[in-house]
Parts: sequence; C-alpha cells; structure tokens
Amino acid sequence: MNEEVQPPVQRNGCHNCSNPEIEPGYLTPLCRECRKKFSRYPVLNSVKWAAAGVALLFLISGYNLPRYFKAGVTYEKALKAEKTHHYLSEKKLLKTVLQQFPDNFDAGAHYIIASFNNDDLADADSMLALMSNRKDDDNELIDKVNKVTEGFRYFNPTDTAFASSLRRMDKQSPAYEKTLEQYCSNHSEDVCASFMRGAYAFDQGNYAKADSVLSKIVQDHPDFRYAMLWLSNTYREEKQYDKAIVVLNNILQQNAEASYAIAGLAKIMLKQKQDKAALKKAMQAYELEPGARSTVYTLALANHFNNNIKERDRFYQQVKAIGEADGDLAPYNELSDIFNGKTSYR
Amino acid sequence: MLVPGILITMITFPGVIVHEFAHQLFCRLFGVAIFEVKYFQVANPAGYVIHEIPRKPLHQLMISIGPFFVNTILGFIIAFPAVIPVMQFKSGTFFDYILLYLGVSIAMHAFPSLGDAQSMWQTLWHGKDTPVWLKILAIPVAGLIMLGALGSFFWLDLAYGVFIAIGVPKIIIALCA
Repeated sequence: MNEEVQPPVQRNGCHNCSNPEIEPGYLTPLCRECRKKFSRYPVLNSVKWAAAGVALLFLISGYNLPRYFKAGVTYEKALKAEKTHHYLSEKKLLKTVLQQFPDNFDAGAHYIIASFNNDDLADADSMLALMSNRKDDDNELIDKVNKVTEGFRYFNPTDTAFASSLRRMDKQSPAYEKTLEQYCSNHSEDVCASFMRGAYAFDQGNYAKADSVLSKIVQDHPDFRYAMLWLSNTYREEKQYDKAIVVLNNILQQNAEASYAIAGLAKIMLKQKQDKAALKKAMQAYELEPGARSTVYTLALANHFNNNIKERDRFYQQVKAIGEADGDLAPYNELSDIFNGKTSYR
Repeated sequence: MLVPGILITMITFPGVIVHEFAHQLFCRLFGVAIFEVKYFQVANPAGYVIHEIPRKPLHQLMISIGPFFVNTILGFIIAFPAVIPVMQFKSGTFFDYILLYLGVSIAMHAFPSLGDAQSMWQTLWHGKDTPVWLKILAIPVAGLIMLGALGSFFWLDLAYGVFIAIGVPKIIIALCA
C-alpha cells in the first residue's frame, strides 16, 4: 500500500494537452481542465460493485441495529444491576433481552442468578430446566450459576418422602410437630427441615424456640435470606427491633431490592409508632414489587396506622385477591383481625 | 507460527482497496492529479496511488494520513451492526460475520504505510514552501507511522482493527448502559 508522488516533467504547456495556460503553483505542468480530469481518476467498476455489495449488507444488518442496540444496552444494564446486587432490576431487564434472544446462554444464566437472588425459585428453576441441554465455555459464569443454585437445597428437604408426608398433615395437629421434630433430630444437616421447624415455632408463637433455631441456620447459612426474614420477624415479635433491623439490612446487602426486607423495615417502624416513615418505606417496597403479597400487606397496614382508610381498604382488597388466587387467606385474615381490633399489632 | 505478511494482506484485501481509495479520495478532494491507482495486487506493495506533488504541503499530509481516518471510520461503521448479535448474543447471521470480517479488515489497514510516510516526509520536510509548524507536526506523524509499520510485525494492525471494529462498539454499548 503506497501513495507515490510523481516527479515533475519539464515541458512547455500542459503535459497532457499542450495547452499553454498551465495552472500555477504546481510542479507538474497541467492546465486546470486536465488537472481536474486527472484528479477525478475513475474508480474501477469492480470496486464500485463491491462497495454497493457492502452497502447492501450494511443495510440488511443496519435494519436490525436499533433492536440489537437496545437489547445490547439493556443486557449491559442488567450486568451492572447484578454487580450492585439490584437483582429485581436485573431480572426485569434480562426478561426483555430473553424475549429477543431466548436461546442466549449468558442472558439465561444471569437470569437464573437474578431470579434466585430475588428469591424467585420457580423462575430460576424453569430457566434452569430450559438451559439444561445448552452448552457454553464460560466456566466462570457456569460456576456462578452452580454456586447460586446450590441454594435450592434451602427450599427442599433432602428426604422427599418426609416432605410429602408432612405436606399431607394438618399443621395444627400434634403429629405434624412430632414428625418434624423427629426428622430434624435425625437429619440435623437438612437446612430446609430446620427452617420449617423454626418457622413452625414462630407460627405457634414460640419465639424463643424460633429465635434459637433460626439464629443457628442464619449463622451457618448467611445467604439463606428466607430464614433471615423469619429471624427478623422473630426479633420483631420479641421487640428486639435493633437486631431485627440488622438482619433485614443484611438481606438488603445481598439484594438491594428485596422488597420483603424493605416491607419488614416498615413493619418494625409501625411497631415503633413511626407511622409516617413506615408508610414511606411501605410505599418504597410496593413500588419495587406491586404484585407481591408482603408489599401490599405492609402498605395496607401502614395506611391503617396513618388513618388513610380509603387507601387501606384498596390494598386490603388486593391482599384478599392475592390470597384467593394462591389459596392462602391467612394474611388477609390477619389484617382483618388487626383492622377490627381483634388482635393488636402493637 | 510465522504468517507471511502477503498472506495477511491477501486475506484482508478489502482493507487495502479502501486504503488506496482513501488516498484517491483525498487527492480528488484537494484537486491533485492522479496518474495511476492500483487498488490491489498480490505483490509488494499490495496497492498504490501515483499522484503529482500537491500545491500545498498540508494537502500532502492529508493525502498521506487520509486512510487512517477513512479506514478507521468505515471499519467501525461497517462492523457496528454485527458486533452485538455476534459478540454479545452469539446469534449472528452469515451476513453479520461477513460485516465483522470486513470491518476488521478495513480498520486494520488504517495505518499509513512506510511508502506513505516517505512521500509525506519528502514533501513536507524537504519542501521549501512548508511552514515550520507543519514541519514540526510532520515529525510525530512520521514517527507514529513508523511505529505503526513496526508494530505490524507484532500484529498491531490486526489488534487495532479488532479494537476499532469490535472493541469500540462494545465500549459504546457499555457507556450507554
């Protein structure tokens, strides 16, 4: 590749057409017309056709560019959200990317990470099932997914027979507690069963036992956020608000957008009669996940203590609708008892 | 494994064509007479443009370094639509891979050749009409061209092509996020 400079030629008049009026300032004697003609040296037709071909290819690819560019930026935003532990935002962003590129391994893998850290196990599990046959050479990402999905064990007892027999039992029956206690004493390594034992103690109002069981789980498994939430609930009911806040903040360090943890902070504020601040916090949680029971429940409760009866009833009805949809009306009944004065929240 | 330069040049011939076209374009822009253009040949040099000595030394500088701008911008523009589907989502079509190849090939031939540097040096440094500031400017430009030419032994040209065609679009996407 070169550009070579032609040395000047000594001749009278234009070197090309002998026109005596040569253009001044140049070493090569050419008239203005000839210089213009030479400067417009023709581009080969083959080069023109090749350029046209490239332009056509560019147009074909360029047609999809706005769509791809948007997806690319969205994907990068999702990765940034993951780095800052904003898993709810990450999940939402990746959902749009996966609509466009459903077979993309990386987006799918990050979606699993986001879903799991957002405690959305069903979504994480279904994506994992979709990706089970796909291969990728990004070992770092695969390791990350494997590490995250190890947490599935927190939600499934190791003995499936035990799990199904317990599911069939009435939670209020003495047999339920006996079976659970017996299993846990023989399977101390089963984190899920231990958690069920702690949650059961909480439900029964045995906060001292719930405290001891759940504290042990959280100490051994500091990434088991669901157990952390129940531990904070226990502390709250034990009026150990500072300890409850520490646990909830630990959850928020793991997932800055854990709406249930923000709602948990609002509930503590309500207990402490900081009603206005609690309403603000409850709104923050609701804005993150407007469809989540815990955020709607807390917002109804916060509006109740702020005497916003109209708003309270709106969210109260939403709690009922959610309960009817998933067959669990206990939170709705809890709210009914608080609003009717049957039970005292504080 | 040592890959002969001529083989690389043959594989990336679209970049050579664009490089010579850029010289031609700047000659036309400044009204400089062109006597011969070889867009590509399997020889050394792989392409060339023979033109007269420009009236203004600045024109000579621009003609010499024109391919740096044209190849860089064109390589970036051509590869851009293909980078996201190929590099980010691994779902590129055949056309996308062609665009990526073209983008890298074109961008990697952005560096002016030693011949370009020689022409520029001859006209600017030894030209009696060259202003001092342009002579001073010619020193680092010639130095950079020399460095670029030397760097091509260590695949600097390829690295530059990959950076412009793939790296820059990725940086832009990351900055927009």
